Amino acid sequence: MNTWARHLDDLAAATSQLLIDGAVQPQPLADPDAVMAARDAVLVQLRQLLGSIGDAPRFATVRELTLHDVVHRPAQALHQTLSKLPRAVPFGTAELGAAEDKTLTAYERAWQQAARATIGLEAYVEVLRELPDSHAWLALRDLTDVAAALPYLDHDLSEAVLPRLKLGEDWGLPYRMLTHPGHDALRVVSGEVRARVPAAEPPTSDARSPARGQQPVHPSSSQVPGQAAVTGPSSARGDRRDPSDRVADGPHAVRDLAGAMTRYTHAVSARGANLSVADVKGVRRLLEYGSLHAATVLERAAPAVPGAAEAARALRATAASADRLREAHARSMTAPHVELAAASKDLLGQTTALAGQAAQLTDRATPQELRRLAAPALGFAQCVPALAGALDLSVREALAARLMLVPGTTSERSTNTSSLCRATASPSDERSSD
Amino acid sequence: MPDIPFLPDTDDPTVPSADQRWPTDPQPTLAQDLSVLAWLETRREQLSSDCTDFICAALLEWSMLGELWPDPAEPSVGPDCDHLEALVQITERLVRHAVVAQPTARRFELARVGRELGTAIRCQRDPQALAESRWRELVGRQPWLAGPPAPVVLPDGRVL
Repeated sequence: MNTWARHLDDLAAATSQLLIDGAVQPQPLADPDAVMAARDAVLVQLRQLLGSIGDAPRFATVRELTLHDVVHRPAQALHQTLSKLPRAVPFGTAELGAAEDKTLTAYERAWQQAARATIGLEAYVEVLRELPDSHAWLALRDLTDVAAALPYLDHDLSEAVLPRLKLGEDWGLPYRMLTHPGHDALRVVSGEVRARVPAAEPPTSDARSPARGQQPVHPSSSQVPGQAAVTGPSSARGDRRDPSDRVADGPHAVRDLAGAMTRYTHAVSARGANLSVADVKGVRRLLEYGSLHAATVLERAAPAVPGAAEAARALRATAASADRLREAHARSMTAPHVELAAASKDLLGQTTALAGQAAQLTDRATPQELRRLAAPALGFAQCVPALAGALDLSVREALAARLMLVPGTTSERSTNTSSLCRATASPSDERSSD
Repeated sequence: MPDIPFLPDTDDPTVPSADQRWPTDPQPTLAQDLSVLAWLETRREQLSSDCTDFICAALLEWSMLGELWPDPAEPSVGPDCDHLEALVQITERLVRHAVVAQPTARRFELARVGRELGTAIRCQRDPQALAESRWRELVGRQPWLAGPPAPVVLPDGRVL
């Protein structure tokens, strides 16, 4: 393994650990200054490395990010977004530890490891500008994966310094930097690059993943990274797709939640007998939590929207029914539909955002604001019966085709040894298709 | 002087030599851990509803990698074990899987699964703190929460 691969390996390992440990809520930071220095080192080095791959001009002012850049020059746009992301602490105010400090928590040591790895990659800044195209694409994808993690890592760090901020310590500036709006652009652009540039293939041939199968092919070697961002990835995926084919459309679809739900419902219907357990779980989550969120919105908007209170009550009843579906156990012979799962997550995120928006509205909200807020929630509510019906029908088809089975228990100790019986003959059938 | 193939740990005489140690139990595989997760996802009596939902979200992240939903299986220590502790141990093992996975993108896929599990752990330990944290993250993620965004009209007429 060469030094580039070794440092990148260390960086990815540390970032993965930080992503998981940060979610568990690490212990209070022993040396927050050192962590901030490490975070800034990662940010600055990533910015330099991606600038080299994207052939960004050196010593020039980074221009404002535009939608055109995101669509046609994603590699350069990524450099631009990272350039707009500020340091957590001003340059020179915190020092990065040279040696591993055993007194720090595992979370903080992972930050140090990430910083050391990115500093190790600094030696390649110049080399990256002359990298062969195929290698440049792989390097871009690997670094983009790390860059895409930054918003999550920064959020975890902001949560870690929040207790100090509440105690009156001087952490206001780092907190603001760690929750900087520039993270939104980074999320969008890194998502764009990751959608267009395929990940490296697994080292073993037995790794099967339909998700990877849908990835675009590598760009041709005639494309240099800077140009390839214009012609290669954009022509490889995404732009040629008819938007109406999509199961759901990203965050902006919240204004057309009903349309997105309709497409999602059609996708569930189209799965038919091939519906998998994972698909059912995804739809169930959406029905339960999406209904709860929409009900929250409609209850808030009820004074200004006739019928909203009734719709909210119906949605809460739906959520309770969907909650009971958790108890239905089944197995399926088919693989989950990746796009359906992603759409479930997106739609759930949108309903959550709506509920959050309702919670943010003040008591002085105008009727017009309430009506505007209620519109997508009502659109969601209108689609819920059709979605529940589509789920019911598809589950029945899957059970009839024996592609989905309900385990019959033969041992009280282990469900692993249970035999499979025909679901159509099981009382659980009614529960699972409720 | 003849070579000495093995030097005992003279610093700590209580540590037995390698051939005197009991063999340790093999670590569960990733597939076994996922099966236990599928089992934990159904244990609503011991874990909170939100916690099991985050476990469900983790398994959905796993299925988004094109993998089948794992068959539920009890942990080897039995169904009466400390469910939260089982979840913590599985998450710790997932970290170890994630940091060595290849290629690099695979690590982040596993990290996404692990992040949901981490959230499930936190949810079980302190649901109130988690709710506030996730709300702050949501506000950060959705800047247009302050009000519905104005539509963006592209030059070709498309509206975003």
